[in-house]
Amino acid sequence: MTGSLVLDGIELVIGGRQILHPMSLEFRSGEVTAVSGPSGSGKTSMLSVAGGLLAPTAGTATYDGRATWGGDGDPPSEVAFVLQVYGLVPILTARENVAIALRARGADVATVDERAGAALDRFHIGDLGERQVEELSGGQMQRVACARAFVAGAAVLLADEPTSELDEGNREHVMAELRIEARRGAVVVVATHDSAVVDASDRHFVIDEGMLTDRIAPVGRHRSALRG
Amino acid sequence: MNQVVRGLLWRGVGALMLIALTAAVVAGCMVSVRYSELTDTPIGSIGVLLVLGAVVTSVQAAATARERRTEIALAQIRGRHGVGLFVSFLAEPLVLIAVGAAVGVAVGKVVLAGAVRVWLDQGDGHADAAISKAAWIAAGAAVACVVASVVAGSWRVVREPLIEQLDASHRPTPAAAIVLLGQTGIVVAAAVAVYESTQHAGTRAGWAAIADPSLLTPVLLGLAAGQAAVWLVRGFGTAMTRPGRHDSGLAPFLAIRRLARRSDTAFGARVVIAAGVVAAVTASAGAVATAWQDESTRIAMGGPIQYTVDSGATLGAYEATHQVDPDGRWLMAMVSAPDKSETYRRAFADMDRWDNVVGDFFAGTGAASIGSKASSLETGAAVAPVDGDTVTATFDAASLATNRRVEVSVYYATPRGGVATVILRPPHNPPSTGDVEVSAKVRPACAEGCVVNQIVIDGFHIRPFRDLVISSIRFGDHSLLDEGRWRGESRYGDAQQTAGGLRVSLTYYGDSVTVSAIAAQQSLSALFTPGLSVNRDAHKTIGYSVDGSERIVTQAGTAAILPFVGRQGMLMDLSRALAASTPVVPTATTYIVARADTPQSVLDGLDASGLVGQPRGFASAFDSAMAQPSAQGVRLYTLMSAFAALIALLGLASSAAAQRRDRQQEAASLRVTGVPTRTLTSAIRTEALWLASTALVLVAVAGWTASRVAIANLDLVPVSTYSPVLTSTPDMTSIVGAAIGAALVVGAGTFAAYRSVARMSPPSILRGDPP
Repeated sequence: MTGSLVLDGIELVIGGRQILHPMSLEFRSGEVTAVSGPSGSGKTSMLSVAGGLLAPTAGTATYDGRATWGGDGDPPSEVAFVLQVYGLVPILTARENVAIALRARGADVATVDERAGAALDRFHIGDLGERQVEELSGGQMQRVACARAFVAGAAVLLADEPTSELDEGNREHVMAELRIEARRGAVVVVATHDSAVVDASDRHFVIDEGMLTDRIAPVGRHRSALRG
Repeated sequence: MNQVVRGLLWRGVGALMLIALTAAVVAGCMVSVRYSELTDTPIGSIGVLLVLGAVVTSVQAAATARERRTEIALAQIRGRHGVGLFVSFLAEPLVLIAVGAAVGVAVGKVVLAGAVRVWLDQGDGHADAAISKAAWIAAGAAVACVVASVVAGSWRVVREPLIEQLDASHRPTPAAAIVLLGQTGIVVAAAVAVYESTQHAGTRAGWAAIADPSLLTPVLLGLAAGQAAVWLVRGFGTAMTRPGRHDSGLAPFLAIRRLARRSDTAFGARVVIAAGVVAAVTASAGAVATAWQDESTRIAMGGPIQYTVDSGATLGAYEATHQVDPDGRWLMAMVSAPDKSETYRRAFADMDRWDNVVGDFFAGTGAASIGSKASSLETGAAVAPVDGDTVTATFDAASLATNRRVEVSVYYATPRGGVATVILRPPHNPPSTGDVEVSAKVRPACAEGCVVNQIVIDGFHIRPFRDLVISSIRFGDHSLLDEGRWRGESRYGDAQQTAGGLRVSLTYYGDSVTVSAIAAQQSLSALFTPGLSVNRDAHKTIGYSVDGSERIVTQAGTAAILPFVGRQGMLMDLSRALAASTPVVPTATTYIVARADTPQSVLDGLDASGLVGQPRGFASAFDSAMAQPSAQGVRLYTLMSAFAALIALLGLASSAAAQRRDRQQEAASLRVTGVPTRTLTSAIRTEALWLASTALVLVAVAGWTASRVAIANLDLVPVSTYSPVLTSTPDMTSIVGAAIGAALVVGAGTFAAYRSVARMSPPSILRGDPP
């Protein structure tokens, strides 16, 4: 996993409204990249284009030289998302929500439960595995969403506000886990409002009104602490 | 008002559903009640529509209320509470119900006019499709039912605490006590209805029939079966999702978990199952009633083609069949002599012709066994018709010399049911030896064949006589005094048939010697219906012949059903009964029946006899019977069942619309984790198959049970003591058909409603604010 996620001149227009103005940027493997900006600035849309959920109106989003947009809105198998709305499946338990990501990638059915449990343990919610996700709090759901995204060992991890519902301790824990994923060689991109998350990132891009307004790299004020 | 209009526009499908449901319930009730009035069938069948409509509407209203949570919360924040809040909430559904009621009245008028035109209009103007007062009352009741259901369905949501209404995550909450009570209540009500139906409780007269257990059993049992489907599906799903259990594929994994954890998954199936059970009972009842009508028509017909013979002309009909069809292949005379007393209920048929003419006409009916037993009926001593215009008697002159004041009366029956006498008076001064021949004219002449049934010899009431010898009596060219045909009867006289002729003596003034044809006194053998009890005298069963005379009757066999007399009576050989009989009893009706494939030349020959009217085939007789008001019950239930099916389909569509948004979110969430679209579609297919299979089994079981207990109480046909029994055995073909239909609707409906969900739900729809 040494490829980069490259956005080359991407632009997004939906219903005549310019969501993203043309922008080009590269997310490197082994790094945690933060994308920040005010609400409605286009962070989520940029992640959606980058991960292949939306087709760019212009430009291309590629990972390791291959376009992430597959034509149907499904992300490629190398990409895993932590969605802002969590995107958990209400009919499944927390463990099943994690396991489904493994089964979708063809993992051995006999081991998925164990691996899913381990993923939940990674975020300190292993005891909630048999609960249906509707019964969980927002923070718990957010950690289930993280466990689901992390469990597959994807080459690209796109996390949209992954710490918005978390207390400080859990936030730092999630950031540490993101760092571990990056160290594994994954491209890790985090859309966030949280300055602490930004500070813990290797790079930082700022978006406002759909335009890339700043590139800051490296950031690293608290890097050493969170890299722990 | 603007808010109401905006709400209606925003609600879209939900608003249309409430309008359509209201229209269906209103139209169904109006049509059912008016049709009941026109056909004198139970008005209470609308109870089925009200119950089903109430269930579907309340669930639809609850779904709509959940959609309006934020709006309700806003109203609460603005200070509306209690009744005021409810009134403001109800403004929108009340507008929809009003629109639906108007649409329902219009649709009802159209459907009613069509039903009346197709099924009732005999061209006599009696079938008035105008909406009656009772129909308006039914429409009002339907609207009231819908309003009450909306209030009940939305009550819980409107009364929710503000904090719950504002919680966008809409976490699942345990079912309210009222919901659990309702679910259990449906099952209990179904059990009570089944019990009450078996006890033949309730009334089917007037508006009270709305609560008649027999009429409500199908829908209550159907709803109970639907509830059982919900429990069964969840139970199965729960069992299949035990921790540690591994599914064979991702699609079953998802389908089973949806079935186990979402009660609304089976709601659409629940109402379709209920309507399926109603349809199963209706179809089964229709099949049973049609079979009953078929059998009754065959019993009333006697044979494939029926001619009614002019009143009294039994002998003529019998002779006509023998003249036109001497080989007995096509035509058979029959007589129906029904009466309220079983002793007098009798039918006669020319049994030697039964197999040829009737064939398998009664196959599958209670009269099917007659054919195999026809040969056991005694025949013989058959009708011996005579014709001619003169009767001639030859007396032994020597015997006449001492018995000068005698006269001989020859009684005969005419082909058209008349009776006449020819009187022969020998001369007062006959020669002393040889023969004396005396003739008299026959009036009316017997060109078509008469039957001589009695010869009476008397002495002018003046003096007795002794050893008068009548060597011959000829009717035209027919010799009457063949040996063994006659027997004398007199308290004071005697008549013996000897080689020299009839030797008659009378020993008392004022009496006569009656010489009767032995054929007129012979015993009759008969097929009895089971349990028939007739007069018994000295171990001899006495019955009544075709002319009302008492005969000894021997039982040759038993048949469950006999032509014309149905379940009570006897069937005898017409030829044996008619031989030497006097005219048939006035209450009897004579028929000639013909094989279905009788050549036209034979029928023309029969027509030329002048005794018969227009022939009536089975099909026209059956159609005519089915058009009678008393046979309209099945059509009323068909109409009602059609509206029940419509309500169920709307319920299914409403359920699908209510679930669609959640399913889209779910599909997008699965796709973002990498689950392929085809797997999601396959999961939908698996879910649909499960629901369809459940519907198939439950509709079949509940449909059979409801049919078993309800059909006999539905007043489908005018069953009497004598008519064939309306079987309470459900028609399995109909029930299986309804079950398959319901399964197809559930399966295909579920798959069709959601098959596009996966494809239409890209993960990008999940972009947005967190819940």
